[in-house]
Amino acid sequence: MTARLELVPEDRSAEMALARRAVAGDEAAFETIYRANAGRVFGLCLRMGGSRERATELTQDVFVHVWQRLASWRGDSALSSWIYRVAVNLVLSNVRGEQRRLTHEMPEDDPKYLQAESRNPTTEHRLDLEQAIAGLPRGARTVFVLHDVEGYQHAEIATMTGTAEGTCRAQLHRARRLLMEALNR
Amino acid sequence: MMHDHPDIETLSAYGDGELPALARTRVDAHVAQCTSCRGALAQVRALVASAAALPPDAEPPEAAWQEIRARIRREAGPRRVRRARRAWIGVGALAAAAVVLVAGNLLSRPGRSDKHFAGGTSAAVAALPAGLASVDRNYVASIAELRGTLEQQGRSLSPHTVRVLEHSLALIDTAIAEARAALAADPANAALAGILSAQYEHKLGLLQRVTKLVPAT
Repeated sequence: MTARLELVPEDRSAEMALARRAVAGDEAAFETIYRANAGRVFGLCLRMGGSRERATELTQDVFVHVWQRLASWRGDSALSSWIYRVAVNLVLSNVRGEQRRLTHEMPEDDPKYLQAESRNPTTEHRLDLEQAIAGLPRGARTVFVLHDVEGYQHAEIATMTGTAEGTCRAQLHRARRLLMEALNR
Repeated sequence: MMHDHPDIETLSAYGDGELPALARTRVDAHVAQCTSCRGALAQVRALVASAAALPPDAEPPEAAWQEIRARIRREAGPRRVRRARRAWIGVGALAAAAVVLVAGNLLSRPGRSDKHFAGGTSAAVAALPAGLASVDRNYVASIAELRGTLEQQGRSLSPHTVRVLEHSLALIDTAIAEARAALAADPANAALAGILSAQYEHKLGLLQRVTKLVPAT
């Protein structure tokens, strides 16, 4: 991973002490960890999840998961990086599950999906980039957010999403085309 | 030279340097002469730059934390019950209870193993640099919590293990006391701060290993 991971000033000893307190059941310590990382995680969930409500649910799931697994963090990487990775994995897992459920309702390659998303009143006249990203089909949005917004490399995305690297590249270029079409509309 | 305009996805791949050599040469030549495609390529690059510049953070609703806290409290409840039950069962076995008492004394009393920081904590912490004092307090709190967890769970340790553990903790405490004393005299010495931190980590690691490896009674 090459971009935007270090969220808080790195003081590994203090981080480890804080994490240990949280693992031992100190709620205030865990709230400190949450406050330091919630914005970053929520930002990711918002772009990947597509709506504020969904992003809120995902953020809650991420931090409950972090609380359950915090004892497994060994301090090899910054706590913020570890939490971010947990968030990416959980969101991707969630997106894959939703994709399977929606396959019959909303074909990924149907451009009408993007048009339908962009026709709501708030985006009718001028789509800004965030709204356009939210309107992307899930597969394209996932790769675009991870690559162009979050800075992951194709090989990393391929591993995380369980797809071929070539598929990731194709999704990225498709996402950019769809975004340009939406922004120029 | 390419006569058909490359589509946006091809320009996107071209911009990322992903096209094979032959295709790249053809797009190179076309873009050099086609104003429209140069404009499209510039748009793709502007889009990529805009995406990279998006702020990474977004403010979650405050209700998110309330819900998280409620969920972790619900999950923590049964854990506390399980711990209490383990401790009770442990007391039922007299031999094990005797060992637990020895271990409990070793792990909980401030007088011996932790005399260096539990006995004179406030004076010693006050002598440390401000930034380190808070880290120091976190370590002391974490160590105390681990000791509490060990006591609460009624860990059963053999007398031999208790002796080895006691000896190891005493050695680490001596090193901690020496590092703290040296740091109090030379607060700006980063190497001493590192040594102190390493000794605390050593102690925490030892206590954690005991907590995890010794089966609960």
